[in-house]
Amino acid sequence: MAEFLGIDVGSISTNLALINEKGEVLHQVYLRTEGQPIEAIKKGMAEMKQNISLDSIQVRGVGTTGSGRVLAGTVVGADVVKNEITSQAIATLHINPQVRTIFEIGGQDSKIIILQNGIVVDFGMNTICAAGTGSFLDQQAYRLRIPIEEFGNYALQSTNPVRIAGRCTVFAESDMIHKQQLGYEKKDIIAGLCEALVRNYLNNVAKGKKICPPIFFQGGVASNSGIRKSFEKELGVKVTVPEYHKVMGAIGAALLAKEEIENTGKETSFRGFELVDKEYRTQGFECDGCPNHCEVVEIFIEDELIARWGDRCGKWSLTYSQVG
Amino acid sequence: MKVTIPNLGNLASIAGKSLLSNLGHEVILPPSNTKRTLDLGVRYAPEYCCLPLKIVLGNFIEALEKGADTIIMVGGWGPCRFGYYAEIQRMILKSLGYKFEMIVLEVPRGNLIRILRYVNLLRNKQSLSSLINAGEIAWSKVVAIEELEKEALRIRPRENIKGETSRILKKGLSLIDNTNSIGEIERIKQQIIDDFNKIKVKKNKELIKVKLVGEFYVALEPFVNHNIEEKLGYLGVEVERGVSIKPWITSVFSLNFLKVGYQKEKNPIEKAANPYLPQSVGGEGQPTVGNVVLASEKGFDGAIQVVPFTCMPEIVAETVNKKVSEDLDFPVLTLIFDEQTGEEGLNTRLEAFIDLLKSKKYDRHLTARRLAS
Amino acid sequence: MGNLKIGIPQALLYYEYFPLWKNFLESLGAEVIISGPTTKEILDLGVKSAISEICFPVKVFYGHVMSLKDRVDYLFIPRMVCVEKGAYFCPKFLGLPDMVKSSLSSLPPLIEPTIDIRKSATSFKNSFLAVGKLISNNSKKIYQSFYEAQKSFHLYLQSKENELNPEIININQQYSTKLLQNNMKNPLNIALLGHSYLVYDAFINLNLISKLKKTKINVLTAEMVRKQDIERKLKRLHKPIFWTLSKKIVGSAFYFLEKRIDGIIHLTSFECGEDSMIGELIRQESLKYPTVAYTEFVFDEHTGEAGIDTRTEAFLDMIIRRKRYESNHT
Repeated sequence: MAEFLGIDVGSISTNLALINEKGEVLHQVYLRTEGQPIEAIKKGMAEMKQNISLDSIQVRGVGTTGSGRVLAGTVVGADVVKNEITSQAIATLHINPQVRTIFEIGGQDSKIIILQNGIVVDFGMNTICAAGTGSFLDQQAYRLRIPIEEFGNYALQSTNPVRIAGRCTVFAESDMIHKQQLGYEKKDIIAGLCEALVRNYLNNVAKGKKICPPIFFQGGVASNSGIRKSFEKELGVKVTVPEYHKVMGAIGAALLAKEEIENTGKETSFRGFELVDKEYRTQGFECDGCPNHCEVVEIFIEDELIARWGDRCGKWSLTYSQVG
Repeated sequence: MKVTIPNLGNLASIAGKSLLSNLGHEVILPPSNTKRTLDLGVRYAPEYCCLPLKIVLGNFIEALEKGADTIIMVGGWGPCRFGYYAEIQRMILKSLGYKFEMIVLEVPRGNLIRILRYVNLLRNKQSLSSLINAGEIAWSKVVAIEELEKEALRIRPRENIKGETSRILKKGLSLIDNTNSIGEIERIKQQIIDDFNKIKVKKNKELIKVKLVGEFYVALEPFVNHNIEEKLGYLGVEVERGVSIKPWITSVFSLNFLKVGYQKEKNPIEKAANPYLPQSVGGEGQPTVGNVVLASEKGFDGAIQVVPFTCMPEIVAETVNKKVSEDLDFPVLTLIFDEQTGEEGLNTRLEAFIDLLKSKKYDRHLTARRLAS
Repeated sequence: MGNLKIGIPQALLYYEYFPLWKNFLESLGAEVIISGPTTKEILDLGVKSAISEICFPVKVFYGHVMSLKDRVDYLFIPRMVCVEKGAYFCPKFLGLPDMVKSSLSSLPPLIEPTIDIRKSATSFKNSFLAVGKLISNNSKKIYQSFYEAQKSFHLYLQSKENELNPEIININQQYSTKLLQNNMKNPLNIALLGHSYLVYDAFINLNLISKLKKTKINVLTAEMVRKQDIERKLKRLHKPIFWTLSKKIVGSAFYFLEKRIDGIIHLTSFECGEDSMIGELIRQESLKYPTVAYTEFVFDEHTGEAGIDTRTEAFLDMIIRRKRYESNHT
């Protein structure tokens, strides 16, 4: 058998997916990055190792994606390192080739991808602030003392959502507090927050994009049924949340690894599941070569330097060869 | 032809409507500005363009929904973005699939055929004398509205019963709206001013006088500025506007066409701005600075500058005003408005600023007052 | 008197007019000192000293002023108002010296000639002669330098080409200055359009040009399009644009769209007034050319390298995969 592993390292979550030659998902892992991407990757690999029998599988290729894709690629020895937009699109098209629009809302950024005839024709990402992203909800959930997982259920109970103004967390928060003080019900406030997020997403990330059905909604926030309902209400069309919506990026990375290996016929550079037991170390220093004072980061496996980056001028850079 | 125009305080809905209906057009005014207007504008306008463009775009969408087929908008030739609003709005509305004609009033440049067509459409086969008559009626309405509003700003902080001034003003505006004779407009204006003077006023009230400066549309459109003039009135502040539509009309309708370019004599506002900002920067940028300088000389306690988020001329003025305020020891509060502006934050800021002005004026520290009470 | 040191901040209109300013000041005998390329330190200084609402490029300019001010006798910050009929610079350029003076303290004196061709020739001349008197006592030399400067300024404005003067940036010829038609046969042609102080400031745009070059992309910029081509494309607009710098961006965008290059990246800065309007113009026009990929990158002091890299990669992937699809299906 031949299996392919995809790893998506984002700022909020780290996701892994293992697929077989037919592109079927054998196992998925979803966990929090918590600011320690290497630890998260190791934890995810360990969890995967426990749940599958290593003897029956052979990882033929590995792909990484997400904002931590280069680091992840270096750590695991990836065959392909791809941006999350391409990865998400590949995964979605694999599940349903007819999809025309992908809404992807993650922790700190959100995207829209427009597809036509199975190729990406346009895309957008949130620009400056956290408008229309998961962290917007996270913070309000924290304020309301409601676990984010239950947000959706609260929202669905509301028949009269409150209007909450505000693009940024800060603005929305002050408006929300004001509405709380006016005595609105929690469920209506939560539904209002969902609508605010959708409105912000459509006005910021999706501005000027041609949204056509079928629409897939994926990313961590897609678990929140309140948001899906708000999208449907606003757009008047059905919005589908695919089964593996949380790990679509990882699935895409795995598919891309499969494509890469099949096209080139080369051997994988995967360091193997043994890397879980190896000691990884990162250290950084501030270069004082010029007024930019770049933070240079070095990655070691068991005291062997494997990569170095972070400098603008490139005099320190030493990147993992497959990166790019 | 079913024409529409953007909302602008009481001016467009009363004087603008009067002009167009006297020319024989069917006028379809946009509904008053609401959250929906704003939402529509925000949804379809470029994200970082300024708030006036967004709201006016919302007006047009709502008017087209009501059946309007011709939009009248004002234009210009820079450097402020305002001159290009109409064109961007036209493009967006076309891309949304609306069918309409847009007539842009601006100093003609190029494309004479298009301009002549606009003039003919607007004139609507009316004789020159009825054209002049329609213009005169509209102009007297503008003059009357601005004068009544100005008077209301003076009376409101003194009124004994909250809301009395606004009630009388509203009555006057509706009377002006419903008449079509210049003599009648003048009579109504006098009568309302008399009514204002009959309002019972509080004695010995500590009044604060503030100059309201900044971008034209935000200063004049109550929905956008969250009714700042009324709010200030109720806080016991006498407000004087630094912007007026009158000079603006003369420039848009090219009434000073022959003098365009070189003004030999600088007006007093520009002269006052000169040490700090000798160059016109478009929009109301230079007048904003000039008005702040003048206000400090004329016994005002402070100035409030209203700015739409990302406004180019007003940001220049804001930067320069920091220095003006410091040099002249004259407090200036800059308020930036966008679709995010919340009522609560605005109230807090206004109240705090007025407290600051009071304690400065009456040489009283907030702590001292708290101890005394 | 000894050589006066005159500082020119390496930001904003430096990227358009530096050679002209330098020649004029040097011919009078002054020593021209530039602040050098943008660095993190300069950026931090700028963000700290400007009001928060102002656009990102002006904040960068403030940073350059701060880093120069203690090293020079004068700062050269001309008030650029109008250099062609019917168009202006952005209001912030019109008030630039006044803003700088209002918000920064302990500055050396400013040299701030007003450049406005609508005004009489004498007022134009006087503003320059006043500059000359600061530097030299030799009035003959001042007049001579002024006429030279005026001549080269007019030549510059009238020239048909639009190319970037190598004096402005000398980073090893990172890009060709002229548009070679045969260059367009390159496998991937991507235009980077935007204000020159964004496109050519490698620190602000996070080295975008070199990054694209590294992936074998032929990078095209507005400076490679001839002025007459730009003017011709602008005729298509329903209403003329009245900003000099934006005209160049829009005109060259239309030009590249018509040439059906592979993609256009419009670099914009946060809170830039002109960009918000012309972005819409270019976007709407790009819809008429479905084969040309179009995207917009927004820059400000918080722009992270990871975000820009992801966007760039995804944009290139999109083009490459689309091309592959098209070649498989035709």
